[in-house]
Amino acid sequence: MNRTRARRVTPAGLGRFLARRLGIGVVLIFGITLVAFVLTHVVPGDPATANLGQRALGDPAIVKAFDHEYGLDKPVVEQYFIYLWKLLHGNLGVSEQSHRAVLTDLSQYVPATFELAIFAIIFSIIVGVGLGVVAAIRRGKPIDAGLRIFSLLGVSMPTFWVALFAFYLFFFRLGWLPSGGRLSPGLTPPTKITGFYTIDSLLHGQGSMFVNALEHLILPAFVLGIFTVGTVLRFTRAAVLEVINNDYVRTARAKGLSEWTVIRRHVMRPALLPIATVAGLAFGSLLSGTVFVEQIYSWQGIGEYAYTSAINLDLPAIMGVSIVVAIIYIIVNLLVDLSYSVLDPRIELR
Amino acid sequence: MKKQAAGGLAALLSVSGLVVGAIGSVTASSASTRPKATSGRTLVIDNSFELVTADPGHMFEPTGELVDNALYDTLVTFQGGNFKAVVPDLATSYQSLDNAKKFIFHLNPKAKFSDGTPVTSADVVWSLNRMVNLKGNPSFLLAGETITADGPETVVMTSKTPNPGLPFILPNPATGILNEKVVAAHGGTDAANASTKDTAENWLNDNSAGSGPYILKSFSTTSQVVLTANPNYWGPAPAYSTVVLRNTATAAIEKLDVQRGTNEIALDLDPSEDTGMSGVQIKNGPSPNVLFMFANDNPKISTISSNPDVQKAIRYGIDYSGLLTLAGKGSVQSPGVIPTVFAGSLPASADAKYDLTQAQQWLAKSGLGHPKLTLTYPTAITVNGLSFDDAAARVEQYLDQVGFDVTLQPQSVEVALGTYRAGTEAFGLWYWGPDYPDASDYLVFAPGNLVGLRAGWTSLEAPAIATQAQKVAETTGPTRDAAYQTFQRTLNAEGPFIPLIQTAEVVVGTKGIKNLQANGLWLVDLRNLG
Repeated sequence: MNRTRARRVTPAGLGRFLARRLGIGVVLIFGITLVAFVLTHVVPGDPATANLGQRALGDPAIVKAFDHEYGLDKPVVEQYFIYLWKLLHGNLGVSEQSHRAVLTDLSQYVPATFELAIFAIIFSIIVGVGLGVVAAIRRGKPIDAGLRIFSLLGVSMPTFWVALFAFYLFFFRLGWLPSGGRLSPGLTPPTKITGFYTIDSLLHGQGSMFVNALEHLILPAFVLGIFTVGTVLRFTRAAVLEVINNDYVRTARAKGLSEWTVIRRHVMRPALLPIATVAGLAFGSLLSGTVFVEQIYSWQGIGEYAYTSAINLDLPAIMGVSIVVAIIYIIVNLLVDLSYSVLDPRIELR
Repeated sequence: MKKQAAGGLAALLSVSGLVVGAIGSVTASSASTRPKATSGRTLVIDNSFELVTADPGHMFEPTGELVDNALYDTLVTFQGGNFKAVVPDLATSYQSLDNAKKFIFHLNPKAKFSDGTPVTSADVVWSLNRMVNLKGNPSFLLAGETITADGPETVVMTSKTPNPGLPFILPNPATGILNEKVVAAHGGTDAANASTKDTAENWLNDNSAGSGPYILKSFSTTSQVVLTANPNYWGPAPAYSTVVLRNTATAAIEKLDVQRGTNEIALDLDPSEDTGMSGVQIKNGPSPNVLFMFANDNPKISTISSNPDVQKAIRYGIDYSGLLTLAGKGSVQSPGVIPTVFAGSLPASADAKYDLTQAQQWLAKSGLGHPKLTLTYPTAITVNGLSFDDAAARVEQYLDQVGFDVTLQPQSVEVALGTYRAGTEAFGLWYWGPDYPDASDYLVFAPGNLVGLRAGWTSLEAPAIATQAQKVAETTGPTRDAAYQTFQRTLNAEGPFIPLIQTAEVVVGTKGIKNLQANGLWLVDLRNLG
């Protein structure tokens, strides 16, 4: 992205920008497949050892059948090109741990994590930006000090600790929220449309299912978002402080505009650029850093899938996760860059 | 601008309408509470899943055994956690002939699959041959067995060498009997090339085709498995109409779930976590998992570990009671490699005794001074809650007192397994979980066999013990258990292995659960719960 004092974005300019970014994205993804493939092959260990039992490992015929089934009996370079060929045809291979197509696994886990992360980021932005503005407006006052401490706690408390404490308090002690999982035990998930239980239950008109899914979402989304709240709060406070004493803000106040209007129209707009940047980065890290929250809240998402794939040296699954995370980062960065031109028309996308 | 605003408002109203409309259909039942079963009782179990598949032909993981034990009948089974004797299941009786080279099983004519069709010998032969030919993890269970039908209700299994442990292998849910016609119609085959031609696994992960008390309603290797009572079950009806097995990765969460009564059973608490719990029933007992050490007998790997005096010094230098304290209530010292819960195990009187003076004398006799030992073990894993890292630290402390200079070498499981399997570890700390609950499973510790070779112990170095192992394997009848005991005494006296302890297994349930018992094979027996 380049920032210049330039004109508004034209459709042709936007098209060129998107095409260029798409091309870069494709190159990046292939680069990531190579890195992930090399890394999973240089780490010590053997997929057969990780996936077969002790007795099965003692039978060469079973080990041979395993290696053959997953293409591990071919030279490494050939394995990589076979993988690329299949990837070009939309085939991510079969997971050695789940015995299912990696694409099938990912279509189940990615929406679960997305649903969690989207709720978490919405919570983080609303709370983080709101509190950040309050802290900036009340700079130096006790409330500012309190919010800075809160922000510091948010970014410094270990996620697993917050997750366990919140579970203990809100489920075990108070009984306000349900235990882990995406739905209550025994409930059959809504027929898949998006993979988001909240949205799918609404689309199917299953109100009780929607409420159930939402109740299960609150605690993990809160825990996952609490770290990001701290980050967004700090960035918002700094961004607002940077512009709040500018001449044009004083002019706006002198015109008799209400403080809320001044903040909304004249302070927040320029301050949103750095906030958009940090929110984009935070969303990416939320998606790829959910493993603790997913484990504690039995939220079967991509974090847990990545973890089990790694410890089982499940090459097709590791590759699949790497590609998905790369795509997510590329898309989120693209959206953040696009948001710059929306938030500040002077910015040209090239 | 107005048009945009109007469009946005319309979209907002549409979404709001959708939400309000859907919520409006919320019934009076609280959404956060467990859904009520249409009839009967629902049982919810928390377990940290080790689950790959529900297909018995491929299944060889603890959670899979729990599931398949409820879905599929086997020829014989175990009752109430007693692994020293088998009881009838599909077979009302069996005969052992020709010095255990031939077994004849007589099927119960009342047995029928969940679709109401009878279980025949053809189904048994097909299911067992399929499991072998799939060349998966459980295939070794029946390797070398020829399985044939002799009429619709008789199955004959023959082998070239005596296999007296066969009745104890067959309760493994991997040998569960499938409805041949149904599974074959969905891609199943028992042909020799089943490992490449059989495509029934995916179907069997969505459906079941067995004769057990439950049928599969839904299956996920990561979230939950739901079983419902089999309406055509030929035995006593199960106590629960629905069983929900939930994947809960954190024991602390399981503890809170069962304490609050949200879920009925927690399967993954370790002995330290069940202390202080009230209002629940806690069942502790020794698991069949044996923690052991070995000192490599191959002098090319280590002249220290292969020294018999050093091996004796280590055996006397371990404070077994200290390890039991670490493993918690329910753990026991393992007098031999065969766990005390299986037939053929040694009595507690045969336990190795901690004797620091003797240990120091044996070390002095070796003439090695204060030799350096590097103890390799898999890090970051636990067995029934016992951390290998903690156990290794205790071993280091005990052997340092003897006069060794111990260095710990923790490695990831995959890395440690590599050196362990290659037989290049000088000193190792490992555990053996049973493949099946029979003493013959522990012949792998004999010289020249699977684990023996990992400890550098070849049949050439100990030909007499290797021969003894062969004879024990073929021993049948009432002297069989005694033969295995003698074999273990020989292992303890002359082998490179130091059996340490059996870890404790713990199951915690709410007060209302009847017949709750930890089960070393399938975690908890859904058939017996009331």
